[in-house]
Amino acid sequence: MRNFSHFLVAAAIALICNPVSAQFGLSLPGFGKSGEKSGGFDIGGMVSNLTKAATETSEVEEIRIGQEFAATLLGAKPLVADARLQRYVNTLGRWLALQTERPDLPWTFGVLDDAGFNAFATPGGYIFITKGLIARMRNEAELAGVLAHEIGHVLKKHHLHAVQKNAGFALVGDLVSAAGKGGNDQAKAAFLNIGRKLYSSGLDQSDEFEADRLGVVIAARAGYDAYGLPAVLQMLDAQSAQDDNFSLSFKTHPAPGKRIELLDKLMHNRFDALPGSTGWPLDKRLKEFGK
Amino acid sequence: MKNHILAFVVLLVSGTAYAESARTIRATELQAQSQSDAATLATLPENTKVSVLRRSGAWSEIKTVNGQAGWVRMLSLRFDEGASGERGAANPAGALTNLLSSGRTSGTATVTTGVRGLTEADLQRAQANPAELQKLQKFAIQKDVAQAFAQRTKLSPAQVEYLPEPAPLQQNTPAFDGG
Repeated sequence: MRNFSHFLVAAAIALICNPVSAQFGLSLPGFGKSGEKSGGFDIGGMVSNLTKAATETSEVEEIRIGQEFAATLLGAKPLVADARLQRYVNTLGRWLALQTERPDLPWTFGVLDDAGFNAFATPGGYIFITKGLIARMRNEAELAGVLAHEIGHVLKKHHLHAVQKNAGFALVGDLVSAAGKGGNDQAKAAFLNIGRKLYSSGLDQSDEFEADRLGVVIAARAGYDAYGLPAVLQMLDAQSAQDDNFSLSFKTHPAPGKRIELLDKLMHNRFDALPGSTGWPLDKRLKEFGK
Repeated sequence: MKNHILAFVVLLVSGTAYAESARTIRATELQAQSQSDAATLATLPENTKVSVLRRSGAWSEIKTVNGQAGWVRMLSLRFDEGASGERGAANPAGALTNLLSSGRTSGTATVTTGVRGLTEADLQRAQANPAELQKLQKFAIQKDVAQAFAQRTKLSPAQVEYLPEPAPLQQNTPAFDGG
């Protein structure tokens, strides 16, 4: 598939740009450890396979890249050590994902132990929200709206596309095969750098708007009040971008007021007749998932 | 302080009972009920100050300073800065920690992360944590578990088409008709 040949280029460019692997670029002929396994991942082998069949679709590759990005985000903040909360969010998230055209991805949801307000998605269906975000939800439909927005990013492969776009495609041929011959550690280092850059700078505004449009619909399909996500955006709109708990979210997203304005026009009265549920309170869920 | 945290937890748990100050962002019809065919009680001019009592779907129940009460379209409102932040100022993550700690069984004390949220710099220097990823993957669940969850919550799935992509954004152009 086209995506992945582009991805190879991105990975290769990151290898060259990264000071550590710049040396790798110079000593390329010495590398022949493609396919070596380490820590359960085999990106070197994956990249090599991609070189052989660059035109084939591979959900497997998408998922592995997503796992690398997920490991990076978890390196920034660990999971909240509460199995009830993690099980609850996984169950709610999985129900939402079942309403989409990609129900069979390995959808996995994690609550990060962070007081700030944030949510992230990585390719293949790995989705994170912070504890501080959960604490600011006024009901389950709001949480469903946020998770559904992140699910939207995965459906449309926004992060994969962003990497391809930002890395550029100028130096294709040689770099692709260089990455293909690279060892596992180099490929992992490349993805680490890509992930750091991607998640600290955010996606294009148009991707965020698209995820909003998808998110309200996915929540409504799942039986939730479609206005959960707009209500969260309205809450965000009243926050200060200078507040440490919100600053990253503000930096990496379009202004909440603009997002609300666009959603309002499109939603109009389309969702008014649906019996959208607000869901159950959090304390009831924690008891439920504590059994 | 303890009372504040308790009040917040009650608020968090009870969900909809809150009053916050907001303003209308355009001239807005005040209606008797939360549906578009309900009787119109008044038209509130743009920038009318209101207290928001609760939300139901696309509608917010409000009161004006003049004592007018009823329902307006939720997205005709903008909350005053800091209105929702009062909840934020009470360190909601801390309050959630209180709520969560009651049933905690794990001894891995990663709870005390301080008050500062994740920053750009944190992400830029993050190191991959494959062990935590493995932990995460153990929490993934099967479809049937999610379906049972929806059933006992009485969530009715609905057939809803995705929203169309709006016309390309242009500056100084009148808003498109989203219908």
